Amino acid sequence: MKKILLIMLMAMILVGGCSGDNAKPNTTDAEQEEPKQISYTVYRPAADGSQKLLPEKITMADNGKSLPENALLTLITQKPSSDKIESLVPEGTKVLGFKVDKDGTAYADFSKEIVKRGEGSYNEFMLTGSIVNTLTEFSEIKRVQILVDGKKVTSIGGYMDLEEPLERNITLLQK
Amino acid sequence: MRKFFVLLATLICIVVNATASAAQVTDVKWGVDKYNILRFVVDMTDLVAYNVNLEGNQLTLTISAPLKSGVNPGTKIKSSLTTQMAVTSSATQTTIKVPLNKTITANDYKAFTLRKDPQTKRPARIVLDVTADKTDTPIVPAAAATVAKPGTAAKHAPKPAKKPAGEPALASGKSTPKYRTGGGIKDKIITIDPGHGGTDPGAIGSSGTREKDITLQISKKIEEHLKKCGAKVFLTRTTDVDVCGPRASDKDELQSRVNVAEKHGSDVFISVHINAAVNRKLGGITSYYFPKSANDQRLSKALQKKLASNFGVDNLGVREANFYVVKRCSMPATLLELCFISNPKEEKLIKGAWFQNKAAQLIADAIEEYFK
Repeated sequence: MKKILLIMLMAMILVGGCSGDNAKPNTTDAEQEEPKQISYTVYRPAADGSQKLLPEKITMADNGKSLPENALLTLITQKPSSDKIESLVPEGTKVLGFKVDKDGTAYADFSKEIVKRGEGSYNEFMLTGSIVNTLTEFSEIKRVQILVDGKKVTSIGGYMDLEEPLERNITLLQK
Repeated sequence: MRKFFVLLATLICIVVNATASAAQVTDVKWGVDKYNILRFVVDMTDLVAYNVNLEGNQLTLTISAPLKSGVNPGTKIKSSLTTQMAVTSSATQTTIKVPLNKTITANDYKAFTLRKDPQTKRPARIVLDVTADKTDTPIVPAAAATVAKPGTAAKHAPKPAKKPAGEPALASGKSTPKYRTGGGIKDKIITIDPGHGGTDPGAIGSSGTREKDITLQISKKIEEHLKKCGAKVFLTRTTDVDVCGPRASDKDELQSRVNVAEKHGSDVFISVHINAAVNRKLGGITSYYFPKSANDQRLSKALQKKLASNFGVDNLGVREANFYVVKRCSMPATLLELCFISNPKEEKLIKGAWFQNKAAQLIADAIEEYFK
């Protein structure tokens, strides 16, 4: 008797769940399913100027975008969560596009605000290092081609050679 | 993008030269390399201003110097892009017109200059590469790999035919770049590159110190110390000038610095910079290398070891970096960032003679150590 009641109750919950919007998946354990959480790591420069990249773990609700794209957007549009790390992204910079090729090359396209002069190599070096090391954390990405307004550029700060894709720089992660 | 098809796409590279008015064009040559890049080389007695225009399907190179009388560069070209060129001269300029058989864009051509090289007896040159039909893989029967033009070229001393690569990294008289990594510093060829210069001041400190001035002062002191050790030293610039020319593109300006190291057959290339950051508290010294061979890191480590502990500033270590100049030169290289001009304390430090002399001495010591 108790069993029958339980089954009826579950059936009602299920029907109720299915008749609503499609936010809840129609699986049997639907009542446990909150909006899915995703997490990933981004690397940003240490604020003490030790020329190292520090990991920052980000957890957020699944928005349907891929993990690498979310990581890139976090890096460019969000402020760091701690004062031990800093963002060197110039004000107003936007991500205009992002895709990953089958051969493992990611293409990260930025608005022209990312191009800045007269600031020494540190900012360009650490900013590009932060972008590349964050994206190559994902196994499907081996290298990153930085683009500005959809085009390849020699440099965004006057020092780096960005005409070819950049690979992970482990010398920025060492202790 | 589109406007390049209709408007004049202009590349200007003016080289300051007191004798510019007397300069003459002594030859115009062309060649097609194994990647099917069509290259024009204009020989001159001195570098002068030039201009490249693309108008419709016609590419025009204008040089602010007349063609030397008696020089007849010919008109026929064997290329997938064109069959001819027209060279005309007035009292003040030489014009080379190349009608192309297809529509190209501003990204399909590139011009740059090469300085006179007394060592290889090569004249000052303007090089124009048309890459519209460039292939990704080399064409094996490289029948067109050498410059073949009858006429005045034969009058010149036997010039090795240029082998243009996919990028303007020529200017080396040697076919295979060779550098020495040991056997003592005596007679070693070292190119020092004082960062920035001319229209590019580099970073500027809060009390007005310009990076380009400090890098030149320190580079000249490094030159003195190295010469005392018996090394042959070349500087990419010895005054406050752009190495390629005012308003040159990043690529042209950086490549011009690499070209100086290449044309002298350098064993080592050192680019001297002062760092900067938005965060004014940051400071310290870094040696950057690109791992072309194990020697790049070895050189950086030798430099960083000497420089790190003498000035009471942070040791930011040796770092691998994709910096253009250290990546694109063929010999072992290091880009030094000697303190932060954005840090007021360090700005004061680097302006002083004590720091500049000490840093130069330590850099020379490290290079000597590297060649031991």
